[in-house]
Amino acid sequence: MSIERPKLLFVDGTFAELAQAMADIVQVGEQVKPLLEKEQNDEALQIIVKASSHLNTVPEKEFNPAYNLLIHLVLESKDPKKYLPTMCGNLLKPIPSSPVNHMNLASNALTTIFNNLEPTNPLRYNVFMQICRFLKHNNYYEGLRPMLKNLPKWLKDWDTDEEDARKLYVEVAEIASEGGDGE
Amino acid sequence: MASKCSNFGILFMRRGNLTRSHRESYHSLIQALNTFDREDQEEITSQEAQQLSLRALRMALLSEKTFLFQDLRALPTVQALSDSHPVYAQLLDIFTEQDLEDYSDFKEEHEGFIEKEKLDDAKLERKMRLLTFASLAASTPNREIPYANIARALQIPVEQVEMWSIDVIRAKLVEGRLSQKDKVFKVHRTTYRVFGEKQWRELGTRVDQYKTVVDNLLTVIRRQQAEAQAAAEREQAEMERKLANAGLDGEGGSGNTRGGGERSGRGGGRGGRGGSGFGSGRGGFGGRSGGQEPRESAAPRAERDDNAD
Repeated sequence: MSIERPKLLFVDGTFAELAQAMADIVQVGEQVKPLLEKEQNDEALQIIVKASSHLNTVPEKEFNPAYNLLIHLVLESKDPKKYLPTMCGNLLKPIPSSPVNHMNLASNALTTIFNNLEPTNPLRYNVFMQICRFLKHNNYYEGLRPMLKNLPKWLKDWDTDEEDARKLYVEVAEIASEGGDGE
Repeated sequence: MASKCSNFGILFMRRGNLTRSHRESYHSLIQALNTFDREDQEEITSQEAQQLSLRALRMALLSEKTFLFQDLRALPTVQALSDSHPVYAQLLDIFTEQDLEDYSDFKEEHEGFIEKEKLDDAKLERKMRLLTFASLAASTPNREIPYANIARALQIPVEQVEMWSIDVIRAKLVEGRLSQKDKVFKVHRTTYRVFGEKQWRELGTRVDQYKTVVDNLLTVIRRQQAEAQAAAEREQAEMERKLANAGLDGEGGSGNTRGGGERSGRGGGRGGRGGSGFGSGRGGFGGRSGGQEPRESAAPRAERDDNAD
């Protein structure tokens, strides 16, 4: 694991600048501004993430860039774990601005989160489970299939305990069998 | 390299076939069952373990492609079913290593069980017939099964034997050929449903037999080899004797040719070294050394060499 992973997101600017930009997009700019001035970054981010469901309504072509920025902010923060559930949860919800393409948009964002976490970061497990949930919602087992062969290695990398591993396998089994029954 | 498979990518492709996703679902379930601690009795008999084991078992029973149950039965959580769900465990035993007749007995003994558990009797019976065929093929030492035996074991009319033979081949349980003339099925390859000590012993005997065959072959080859070698030696001795008989004439003749060859070879070599240009201008001298050389073209170049000396 000594290989340095390339950064998959390119961003330009300080945390405060970027956070302010993000806050403006999700329409909490005024609220966040004083916090950022006092360098209360966590508090600011908390407000941004809380309002982030607003991202589901941005125009289709701005969706992924906006999410990339949010993902960057969250992953750079002290405790990404606190924000990931809300962020993933929002991605599982419908995206009204893009009824046709929502699956692509949401899966792009979810995989960006996954891929930007260190390969050994146990948080990847949680994101993976969210991705499973997403694919299950959309009855899209095919999206999972290419990843199956990696699972044993990943679970080892994340140091997942038996119970969580079981949960994951059962979830995969369910998605796979639904993928079959659905037709 | 390491990061290559650590990333997640979702490809939006068309749906794959259903059998495959069923198989993968089953596989994932088995992996889930493997996460239970084999040593922890409490864990492997837990409610969760029971439920998952039952689910895997039902899936295996009803799957079109699953015919071998030995691996499933070997799982500790599945073994634990024999206490919590003895009827299911009995059914698993039948599908692992017993025959159609046992399945029929089971249905009599536990009337209504198959229906109550929503297991598809038609599917199960079909599977049992195919499995019984596989067992029959594996237990026929001369590798030829008469139609009548197949019909009896599978409880079917003789007219259906060929159809079932094709099905069992398609299920990849047995490989073989139907001989309509002799009314036998010739087995080329079989699947052992359970590979236990008996099968290992059988395999051992076969390997021993094979070893004997190879040893015999080796002896034959060695003998042939030795004979061939002896023949070659004899031939060589013969040749030498003939040469010796040919006498001094032959020896003198060969000496001459050797000398000639050497000389012409030297000339050629020098010619090559001489290169171009030089030779042409002094062509006149060529006559001096050229007289000895067999080839005209080599003469002027050879002359240049003489100068250098």
